[in-house]
Amino acid sequence: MEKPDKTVREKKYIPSGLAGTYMRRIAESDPFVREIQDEPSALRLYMDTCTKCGVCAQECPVYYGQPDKRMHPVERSRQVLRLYKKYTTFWGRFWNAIFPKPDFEDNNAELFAERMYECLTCRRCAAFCPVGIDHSVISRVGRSLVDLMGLTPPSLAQGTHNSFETGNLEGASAEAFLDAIQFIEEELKEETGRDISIPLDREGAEIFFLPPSGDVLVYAENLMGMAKIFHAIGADWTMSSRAFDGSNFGFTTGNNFSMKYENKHYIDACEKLGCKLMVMGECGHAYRVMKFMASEGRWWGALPFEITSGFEYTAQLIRTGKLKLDPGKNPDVVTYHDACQFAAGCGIVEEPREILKAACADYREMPDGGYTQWCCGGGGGLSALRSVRAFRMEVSGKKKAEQMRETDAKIVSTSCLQCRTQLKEIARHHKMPLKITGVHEMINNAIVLE
Amino acid sequence: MNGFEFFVLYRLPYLAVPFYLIMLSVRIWVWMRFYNPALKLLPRARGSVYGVWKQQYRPTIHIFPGSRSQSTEWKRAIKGLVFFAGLYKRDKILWLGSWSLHLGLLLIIVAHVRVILPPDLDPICLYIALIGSGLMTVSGSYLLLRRIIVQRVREITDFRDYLAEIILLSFSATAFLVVLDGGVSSETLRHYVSGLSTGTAAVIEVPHIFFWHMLAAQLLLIAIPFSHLLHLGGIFLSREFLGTSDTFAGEFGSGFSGLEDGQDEKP
Ligand code: SF4
Ligand code: SF4
Repeated sequence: MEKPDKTVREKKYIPSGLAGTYMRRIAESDPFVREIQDEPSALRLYMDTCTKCGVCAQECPVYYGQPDKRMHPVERSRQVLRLYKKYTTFWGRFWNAIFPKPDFEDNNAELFAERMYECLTCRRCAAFCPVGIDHSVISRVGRSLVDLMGLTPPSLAQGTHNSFETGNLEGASAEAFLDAIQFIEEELKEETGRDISIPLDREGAEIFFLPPSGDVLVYAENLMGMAKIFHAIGADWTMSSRAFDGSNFGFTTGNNFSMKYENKHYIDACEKLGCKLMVMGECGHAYRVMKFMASEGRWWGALPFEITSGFEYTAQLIRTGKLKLDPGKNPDVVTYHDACQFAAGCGIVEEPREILKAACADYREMPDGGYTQWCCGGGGGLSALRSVRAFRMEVSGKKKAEQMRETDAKIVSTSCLQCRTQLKEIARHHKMPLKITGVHEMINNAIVLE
Repeated sequence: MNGFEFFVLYRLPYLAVPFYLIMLSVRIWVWMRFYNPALKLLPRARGSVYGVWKQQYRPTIHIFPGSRSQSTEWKRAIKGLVFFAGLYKRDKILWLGSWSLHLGLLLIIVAHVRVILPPDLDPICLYIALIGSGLMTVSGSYLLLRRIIVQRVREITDFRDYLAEIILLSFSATAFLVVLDGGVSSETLRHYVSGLSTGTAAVIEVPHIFFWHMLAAQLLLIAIPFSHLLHLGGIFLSREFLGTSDTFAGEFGSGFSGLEDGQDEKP
């Protein structure tokens, strides 16, 4: 794994007692920690309910790729649980007073950090565990500790840092963003011959659109698709030039503070513009945090606007016949890869399928698609890590590579930027002539503007 | 009867039963402090336990959105708890082993109710015990074997887990042998239990295997709080229990079902 870069974050090994403080904070049901993901329950549940049946390992993409003890979900979670037990339970404290043990196995904090990033936080284990233990929550607690130690892999730490400083992962300036938007508008004009504008900072607009910044700066086709949709139905919409990155790296790195405040950026922007509906783009992390944590968990009180994902929004338009699509524009066989955070995290399974079926001539299912999809192997922020590329290609992405080979598809469409990066690399690495796209990219091709 | 047998039959129960009850009570007390979906199935309460209830009714973050009406939650909880429907969908052989083990245990417990039943129901109860202990022994052997043979299960099994399963297996095997040996009459059992509860060692005439059964049963009580067998109670902590996840009931749902009802609002 990459060694942390001191310029990003001051490297600090966990001071003695900090692991304990953090674990006790979780155990005491600190509302801040508690409301994020029921972490204390997840840890307790694991301790008191795991039947050691091994079903989770059978279903875990990482264990599938490398079936040994180190990759076993239960074994990984045990690394976190030993800290929880040591510092928060009576017997843990009792035995530690008599036979003190180091916090980490082999007293190796780096190894601990590495292992926490060997979980994709995809929740497939939670879907199959007979008692519902969610190892992704436990790995995330582990990642929080890793973050406290300053051992978060630099690219993720940098992304989180950028989100904080500039409001977007890439650290792009408002000027760069404006340039990109202008470029996309020109592209739209060239392609359609129409003036399809991407309004910015329009106060009082009905819809606030929030794509991940990658959809503006890297893969613009998704944003173009969405702009065409809004244009087609004559929607009153806007984006913000300050909060234009609907992603969330704090969620990935276990940095609860960052997760919560990255989310505040968009809420403030939407409130300030007075929009009634926030439509979020193709980033499952951001949507899950916004909809199921910030909104349902009332982090910032009751929100004065509704939240929906681009998938729900577009699918609804298709259902009600408001969009005209020409599937002939996407003639190749298309399949869909469910992004973990959308499927297993938010229950968004049908909508992307509805969209693809309407926009493509030949849609085929990926085996095991839906809530219980197999992760692409780059989940939990891993696809942003070059240093673990071999692991992603040969271990965590092994099952997905096999599945992609099984389908006859020429195009794999997916709902998340991280999946997109990983699937592209898998296709290249395993020499599969596949095109990887976003879902709204297919709409961008198929939409008929009248 | 030698001294050890006397200790197991007439003294150990005074240690094993309170130990089990205390350990379990401590666990329940701890579990109450955490988010405990099982409590949400019960009506909201006011008064001294209000604080605990209030904590349970805070907004919850759901694993897989699903229907959250009270009746659906009940249905799913029953489906999951009684039939292990979720496990059935995942691994049918493991389900068969696990479900018949739990069913066997239930039958053994039911058969013991004869302590308070008229003696003419004895044959039926013994029959139930025979089926229960037989089922449990066969499925317990399968589960233990699976634990030893299957790599991904062996990798996470430690000494305590093996010990607990061996005790569990001894418990069911000795129950089976007790019944095969002709069983213990309900009158003798009554005599034994009332002797224990009044603190008088009412010595009873029982087959030798009954002593081993009692030893295994009491060791089991001691082992439960320290092993994976604790899922017996811990399951109520699982939010899968409520069917907030579709998976526990073995239903993976069919898409996003909306979030209308205010079930999870604070009171
Ligand atoms: S599937 Fe659940 S109960 Fe079984 S070993 Fe994994 S975490 Fe434990
Ligand atoms: S969250 Fe995914 S990668 Fe992590 S243990 Fe569970 S199944 Fe494996």
